[in-house]
Amino acid sequence: MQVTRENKDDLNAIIRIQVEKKDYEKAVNDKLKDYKRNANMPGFRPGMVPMGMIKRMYYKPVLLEEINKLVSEQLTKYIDDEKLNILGEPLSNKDEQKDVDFDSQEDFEFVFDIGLAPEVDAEMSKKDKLTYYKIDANKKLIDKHADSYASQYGEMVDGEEVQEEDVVKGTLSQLTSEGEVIEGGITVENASLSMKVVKDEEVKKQLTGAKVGDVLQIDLKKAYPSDAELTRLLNISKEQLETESMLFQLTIEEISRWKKAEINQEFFDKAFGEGAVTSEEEFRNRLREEIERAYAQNSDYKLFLDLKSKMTGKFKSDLPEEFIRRWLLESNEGKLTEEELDKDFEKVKDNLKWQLIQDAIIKKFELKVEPEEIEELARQQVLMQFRQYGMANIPEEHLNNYAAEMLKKDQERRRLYEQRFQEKITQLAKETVKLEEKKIKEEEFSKLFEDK
Amino acid sequence: MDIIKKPIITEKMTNLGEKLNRYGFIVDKRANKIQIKRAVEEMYDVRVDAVNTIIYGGKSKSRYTKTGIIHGKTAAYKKAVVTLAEGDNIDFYSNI
Repeated sequence: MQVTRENKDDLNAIIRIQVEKKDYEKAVNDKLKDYKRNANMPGFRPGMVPMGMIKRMYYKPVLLEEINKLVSEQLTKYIDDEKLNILGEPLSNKDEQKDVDFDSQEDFEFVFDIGLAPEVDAEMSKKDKLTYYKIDANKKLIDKHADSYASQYGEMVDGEEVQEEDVVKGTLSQLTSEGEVIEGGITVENASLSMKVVKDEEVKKQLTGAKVGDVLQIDLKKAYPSDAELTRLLNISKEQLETESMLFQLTIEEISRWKKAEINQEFFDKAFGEGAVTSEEEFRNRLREEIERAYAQNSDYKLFLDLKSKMTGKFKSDLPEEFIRRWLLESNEGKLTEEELDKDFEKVKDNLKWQLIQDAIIKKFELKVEPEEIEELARQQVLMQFRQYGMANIPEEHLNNYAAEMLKKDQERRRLYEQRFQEKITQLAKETVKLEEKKIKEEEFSKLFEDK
Repeated sequence: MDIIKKPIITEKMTNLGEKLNRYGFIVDKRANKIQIKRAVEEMYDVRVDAVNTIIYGGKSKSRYTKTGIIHGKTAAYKKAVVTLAEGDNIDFYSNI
């Protein structure tokens, strides 16, 4: 067994692996013996099949497997030992790789192309300038936030007259086209009609301003264009919808309205705990803090993107383009065509560059992500997911289970690591790079993302 | 005179073949070791290191039937265990 390397230039190299019979013989024989022990063939007792038969049936596949294993092992080992920083994966060399005939040959030579990563300078210093966008929590934003707080802590109250967003409750009874109540027709007691769902302007106008006790004639078909909505309201089947008259009489019994909480001490206590907030000014300050905290994440992300483009811009070394192209085409065989690759190649290159820079930064500044951090992050994400479904109180045990489940998936774990590194690099950038803080409105900030 | 009559294919002989490179044949009773060596070398294109022979005597067998007792005798035969030179082997199963 011999592994040699020839450097073609700074970025491309060839690795030759010579495999002799003695390198693989033992492994292959052991494997065959294992097959023999378990072979079950008619005419022979189990495990008593002659070696000659086994060899004839399994020798070639076993040989192939063992050599494949051996070569990839050696290749990885060589790359590790020599501390080569390669791009992509080694590819079989098309020009120098001779045809391999597993039937007659005993010694094999495998030739691989590798693409070497160029030296990367991960220098970050005060010389680099980046803008840190801070979202200005202006009055409008705070108002919006306050409003959503207020409606979150609001309550249902009875209304006198029907307004835009009320829910009307009452009895629905089916009418003939002449406007008489059909005896034994469809009647729904305690039906609730939400004004938000009513689509037709005419019906809306008809309902607006109606009082408790009023009796109205409504064409439900007009009011609810969606069949699903109607079937649920009247509790009938879809077929009935087609045949039955949809003219109904509504007797209003109750008008409910979602009333936003009033901004007063009681509301503050409910929202933030007893005595935590005592005045409207404090309340607004509190909201400002919350908004800024929420947007700080976005600001960080923007900083990260800026850092990324700045560092990739600074990256001057060349990449083994020819090799990368080949690697991408071969590893995505069938899924990626030449034209598609041409189109996205610049992006791919930038991503690769960033990958290299990121690795260099991690090495240079000795950034580390501990498994515990990842666990914590996984737990947070699980919690967030549950919150979205409106479940805020998850037992610790449950949370841990879900997080562990999440970490079992390689892809998820890699994503979490990536995320954590991203956070750490951003943090690092904040400390090392000269930052220029800039207050910016939310809309403008969103625009910054769109430009990209 | 055909020297080699047939190979002996049994689990016992298979094991001998795999471990010690020895193969068994039923041979003509009149053949001597030198002739057997030559015959095996010619037929399987291998080099023979040693030949051991055994002569098995026939056994008399008798069976009781309605028509009386039938007497008979199984045939006597000569068995040769051939050791091949290292590196050579015979694959009896190659044409299955």
